[in-house]
Amino acid sequence: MLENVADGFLGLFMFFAHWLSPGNDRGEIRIEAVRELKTRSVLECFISFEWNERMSDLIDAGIPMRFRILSYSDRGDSTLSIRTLFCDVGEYTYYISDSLIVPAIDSVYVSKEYRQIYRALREYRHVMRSFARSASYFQIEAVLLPSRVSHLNRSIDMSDICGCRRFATRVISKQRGK
Amino acid sequence: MRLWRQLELEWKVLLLAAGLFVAFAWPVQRFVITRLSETLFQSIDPDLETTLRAELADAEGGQRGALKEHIERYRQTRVLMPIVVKEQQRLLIALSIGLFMLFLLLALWVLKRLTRPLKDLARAVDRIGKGETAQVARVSEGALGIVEQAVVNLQEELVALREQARMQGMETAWKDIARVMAHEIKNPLTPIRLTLDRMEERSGSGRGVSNEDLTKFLTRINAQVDMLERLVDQFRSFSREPEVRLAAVDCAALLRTVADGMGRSLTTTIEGAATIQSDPYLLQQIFLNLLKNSLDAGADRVSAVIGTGVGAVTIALQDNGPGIPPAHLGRIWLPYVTFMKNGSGLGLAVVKQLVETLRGAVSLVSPPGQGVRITLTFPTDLTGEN
Repeated sequence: MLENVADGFLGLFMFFAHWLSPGNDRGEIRIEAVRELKTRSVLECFISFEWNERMSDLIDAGIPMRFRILSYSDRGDSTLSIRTLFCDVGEYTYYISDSLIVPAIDSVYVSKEYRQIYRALREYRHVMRSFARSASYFQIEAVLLPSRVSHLNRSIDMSDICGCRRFATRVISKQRGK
Repeated sequence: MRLWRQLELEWKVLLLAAGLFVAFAWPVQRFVITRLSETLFQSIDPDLETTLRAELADAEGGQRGALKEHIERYRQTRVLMPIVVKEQQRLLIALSIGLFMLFLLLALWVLKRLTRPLKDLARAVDRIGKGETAQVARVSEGALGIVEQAVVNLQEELVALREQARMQGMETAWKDIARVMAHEIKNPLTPIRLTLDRMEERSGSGRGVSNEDLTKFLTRINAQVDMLERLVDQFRSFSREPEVRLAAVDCAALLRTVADGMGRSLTTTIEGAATIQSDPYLLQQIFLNLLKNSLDAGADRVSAVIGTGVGAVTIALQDNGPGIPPAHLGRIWLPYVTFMKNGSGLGLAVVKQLVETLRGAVSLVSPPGQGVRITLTFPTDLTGEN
């Protein structure tokens, strides 16, 4: 009898713990196209996460959205980059930047400027990676990083709003052949 | 409701506390957070960005950068406000739940400590009620200490009363045994004494005792000595576990033999037949005691019905005696308890003991005006039963 009551309390506690914990469900990276070149394959992917007004508000307030994108295969095609979406609050302009950490450290690419967030977002979600055709699998993982709120000296976790922190997909050679 | 009644006191208190927490603490914190959010939002000037942007349009160089930062700060504050409030709310709830859990554990510990002496007392009283000895120590102060002392006193009084009752019971039992034994022994002794007196008188007067008279006197004395022997046997058979010697027993034949020994004073009819593996001597003693009991009670007819069931045989004996008053039925199996003028009080007690020795059962009913009906049940094979 008392064990049941104790279980009830434990269940209640677990419920609250789950409710209070940040979202860490695994999201999806959709493969949109695979182009086969002579020695390499180029993969076009789409990070599939929900967009809402609250996220727009955060970006519009100059808070950057950052993804750490890691891709690798069994042939050693490893790439690690940080992709950022940020807004110039004064000019109402959105930019996307890619900081390539591996293999070339501090190689930064900044996109053209966008006047509308949804257009910027379309490019932001698109990820293109290439890997050796001889690879038997290829894995892409994207992790939403905490964003720095510069003027309030703190950071926020956008995955609470987005509902997902990790996104991943794996391509194996059989699947690619199709 | 039944579940609630089964819960212990401390769990009831804790559940009530949990209910109160959910019922009051939750809405209260929601109300406080809502009020806080409203106040914070009201503190932000909604037109500030418009003003800053107007200034930004005309600004140049360093001033432009500073204005951009102001706009950014304003926007970040505005957008982060609900998130921060939500965070604080979560923190508050987590803290409340943590504190509540801590309170629950503390309350449980305190309640357990408080109720432990009461539970110990309840267990002790329960044991005392069952006649066992319970260790009750006075360890608490105040009202609980008074209750503990009362239980200690109660136990002491009960022990004294039980001892007194035991002693009284033993004394009464010994008196009864002595009375019955004296009476039973005296019964045959009187005719022996009278016979010896007559023999002494005859030889004293010089008349002498003829061989015929001597035989008569000796027969009479012999009969009384037999009776004394039977009496001693009865006492002995009651005081020790009889030895069981198994053999095939024809119940009807055995009952017929015993009934024939009763002479013409008791007519016995027997219906049915059964053969069982049991002790013929013990069965004979059972039948003898029961038929003699009927005869002594004033019956002149007994009808016996033997029936067989699955693994058991039933022997029902019905007499036409005066029966036993309902008030006496509860005590008839007790040793040295008799309601007959010349009874020893051992007949039915011996029967019960022997039946149980043979792994059987005996029951007695006596509807008013219908004599006594005794039903004996024995296993068909005592070897298998054992």
